[in-house]
Amino acid sequence: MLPPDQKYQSGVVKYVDLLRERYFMYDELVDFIVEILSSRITSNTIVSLGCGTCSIETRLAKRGFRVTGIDRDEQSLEIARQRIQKQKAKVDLICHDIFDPLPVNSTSAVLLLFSALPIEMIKTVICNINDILVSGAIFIFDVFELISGEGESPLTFLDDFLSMGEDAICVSSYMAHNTGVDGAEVYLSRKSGTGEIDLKVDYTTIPIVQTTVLSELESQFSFGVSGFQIEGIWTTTKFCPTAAPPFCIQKIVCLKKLS
Amino acid sequence: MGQEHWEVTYPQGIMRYIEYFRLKNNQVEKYDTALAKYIKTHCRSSGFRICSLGCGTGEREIDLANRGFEVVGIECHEESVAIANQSVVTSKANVDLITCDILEFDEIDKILHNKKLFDAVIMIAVPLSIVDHARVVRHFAKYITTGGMFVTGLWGYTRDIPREGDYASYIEVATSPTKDDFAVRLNYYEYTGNIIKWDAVYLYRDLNGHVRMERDDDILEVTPEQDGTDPLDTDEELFEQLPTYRVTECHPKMLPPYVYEYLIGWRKK
Repeated sequence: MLPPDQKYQSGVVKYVDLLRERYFMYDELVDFIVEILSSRITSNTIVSLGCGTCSIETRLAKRGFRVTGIDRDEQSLEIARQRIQKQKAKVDLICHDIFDPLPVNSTSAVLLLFSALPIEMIKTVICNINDILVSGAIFIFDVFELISGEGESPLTFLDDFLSMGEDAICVSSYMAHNTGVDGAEVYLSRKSGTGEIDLKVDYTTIPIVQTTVLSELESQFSFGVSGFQIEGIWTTTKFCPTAAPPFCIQKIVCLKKLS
Repeated sequence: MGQEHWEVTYPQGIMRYIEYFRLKNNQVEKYDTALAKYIKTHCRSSGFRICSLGCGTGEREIDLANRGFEVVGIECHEESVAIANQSVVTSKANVDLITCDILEFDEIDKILHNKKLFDAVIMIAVPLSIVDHARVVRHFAKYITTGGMFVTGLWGYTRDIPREGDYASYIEVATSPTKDDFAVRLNYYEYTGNIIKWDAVYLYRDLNGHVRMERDDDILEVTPEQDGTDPLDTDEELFEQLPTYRVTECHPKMLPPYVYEYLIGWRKK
């Protein structure tokens, strides 16, 4: 998902999606989400905030969940629609900003994954969803923790998407700072017929949650959101080593709404 | 060090795009806070007249003018001066721009000989060799008033000097100030002792919408800070060396990996 003040460049989401599908181990991640949910909720409906191109949502649908995906980016939703149609997955889509009052109610499970939102904004989302959650509902989100700090040499990667049916390459690079990881993904594609080269970019800063913030969060001292208890915090990188951008590990946080 | 002189040049037409990266990385306001403080702390002359050598597109000079300095900027790259002139007009800043190579001393003398002396001559982020840095300080001494100073920004390594043949590479994206255009830069830095060779490949969409690629290269000479030693070997009878100041105000991404910038100054006796 994009930070509220950013917009994807026209036509770039298709390639961002290819890159994510290649690296983010969605199958393993979905296995884990299903494991968390199945022992905690009886309903099979899920609302996924910032669903993007629905890589996770279509996988959850295949596992028997009825998923509603909400995202404000129409470009992402168009790719999501294609994916849903191709896979005949049961996912409903709503084009909507998750920082506005949400157009759903009586929900027992809400996801906010790969949002790359700072923790303060995640808290805003939690306040925003409070009204739509039933008692005992589960809210799962992720944050990224820095495993190596400022001064590290930047990491650069080269990917080609030929094997994924696209005449395109991606050159990307990531640089760690104490407050976040700057990522620049540059996509060069060749138009069939003319051979003309096209240039697209996606660049963002992935906010980093400091270990101290997370441990405070874990012991519920400063989380600042009442009415929830923490069910658990897990490091997915143990089973999905590439679930996070370079220099980061992904932490999955599960909250339960108290009655 | 072998090579003692190299030219600073740019491929035609890319300054507009280089500027996107400068606006993003240079953090001129933060840097100038340190620079202005350094000048005010050490300058013993009464005026506020600055000459900025290698002023590029004039962002720093406009910022310094907004801080109350009267600024003369000298730059040889015509495309940069054109951009700087435009910005000066727009900002109505008290900046006078001169197109001249700062190493063409005869030309410099023709231009400056009848101008009022400066309280500070500065040379910030100009990738000249250290030998040329020293030549510039020596030459411009005569345009500095007594008690005035020469300030230059030099580079040091943040950790042990990278090994021979070490390199770093990464990609950056920067947008235009209006956010409706962008450019991509692939950076490649090769470290050999105190010399860093920087290759930059720019990918951008030109004004006709065509994707273009241009290569620019620079050489940065790193000068480790050494207590009591003058890296430019300036004339002790003419100048008193001032303490160095490590610029910590800016985010480190403004510089190549492993590099930091410090200010070093000399006060005219």
